[in-house]
Amino acid sequence: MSLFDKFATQRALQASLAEGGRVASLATPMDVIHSATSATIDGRRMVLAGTNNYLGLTYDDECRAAAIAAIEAYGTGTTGSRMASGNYAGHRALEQAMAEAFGWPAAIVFSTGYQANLGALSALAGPDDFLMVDGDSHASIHDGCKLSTATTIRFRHNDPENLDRRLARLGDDAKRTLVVVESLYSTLGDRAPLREIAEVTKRHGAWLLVDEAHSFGAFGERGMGLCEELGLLDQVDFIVGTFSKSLGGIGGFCVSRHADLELLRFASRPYIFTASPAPAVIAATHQALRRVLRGQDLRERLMAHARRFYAEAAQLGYRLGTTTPGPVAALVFSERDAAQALWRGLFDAGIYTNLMVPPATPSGLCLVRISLSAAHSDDELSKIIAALAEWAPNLGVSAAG
Amino acid sequence: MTAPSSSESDSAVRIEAAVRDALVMIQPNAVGLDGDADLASAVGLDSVQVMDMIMEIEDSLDISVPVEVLAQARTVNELRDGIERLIGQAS
Repeated sequence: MSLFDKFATQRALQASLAEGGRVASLATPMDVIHSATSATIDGRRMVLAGTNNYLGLTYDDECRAAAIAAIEAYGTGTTGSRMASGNYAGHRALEQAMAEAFGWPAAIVFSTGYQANLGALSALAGPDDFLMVDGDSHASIHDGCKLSTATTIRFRHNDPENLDRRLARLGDDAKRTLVVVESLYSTLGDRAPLREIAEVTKRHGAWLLVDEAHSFGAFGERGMGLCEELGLLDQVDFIVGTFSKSLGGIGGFCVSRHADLELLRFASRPYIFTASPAPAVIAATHQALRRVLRGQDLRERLMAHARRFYAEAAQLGYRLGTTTPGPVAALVFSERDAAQALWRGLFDAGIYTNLMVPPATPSGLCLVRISLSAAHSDDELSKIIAALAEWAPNLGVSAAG
Repeated sequence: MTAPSSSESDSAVRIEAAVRDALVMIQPNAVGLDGDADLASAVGLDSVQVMDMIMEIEDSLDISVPVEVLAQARTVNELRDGIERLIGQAS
């Protein structure tokens, strides 16, 4: 008997991904990175269209300069938790800037986006509380629920009526309930009906946390996300997000209109028991935040790409995860073979995308997920669309009439 | 051993029917599945599909099932028994 016996499924997956020695769709080796949208993979220069680098800030000159200057000034790492020796001026300044950006009194920076959800959910909801989470939530939300001692209940994806019924069943306990949704879901690219969810949540006296991981930087006049764009910041209690997508770094945050968020520093295990982010990461992220705040040009370019991609992919006959254009474009298939063939076809055409299959996807769907970037050139976008057009007949996809 | 009352057995029948209806909705080939069959190995349900199935049961019975209550349930009978216990605790 071996501890590894339980990994039979993973062993089979590992073997299937090798596909006769060809580059795998999972953990694809990126050999040389050239820019926000270009890398060498398997000896070939490829267009990157699956990196969540929505604003292309990983190669922004000012962000890189800030990171280099921080290494020179503060060294390569903090070697300590924020609650010990890792509480540098840069971390505190970034938190203040995040809070000011939202116009809220409190912000906490976590070492990763995953830890932001773990740290916020596990600390906010205690043994007598309830977590009411959307059924299609990201793993970090489900894991945050597991780490918390609260009772977790799922409601149907993007269904405010279903949420309403479940909150009603809780009666007075609804006031001890934290409703958790994502503003933009990373697999299908669909948006939550935030206005309706906020109305239901507040009517029951519950609390609302919105994860803006894929929308922060990309939406809203100042880039604060879909809650800002929809004018809902006065109805949301907490917003969680990541620095590793639009901001081009690594780390996560939780901001709140409740000053007592500060108390989580003394209660959140994923905040306390880990080293704080490296100074270079904090400096680059802070600079990226400044760029996001004056980044209407980047958002307009990103959305222009999104509108073009959605229109042309639909015209070719592809089914998309949602009809509302956004930075995530998921090409949806019911058969794994079709999705895998398209991923391979795009790869052979010099385009890197994401292949996603169950159980990492909702409703048993198989996806080729494309993430768009303001840094994509018009030519790069044309290349992606041309490759999709070439592969459409192989997949039984036909042009929309 | 005490025989179940008719209302208890009615409830068990109703719950099992809800569980089986939900299973068939997620996996149409699972009609008449043995109550002790493992949903993963016998029917091929993954963890997300089991959670979707529980959501169908919740709507059918108008209950909320905490995620942790049925986290270990692997068969139709285990799901039925878990929900029965949950409803028993609430009433």
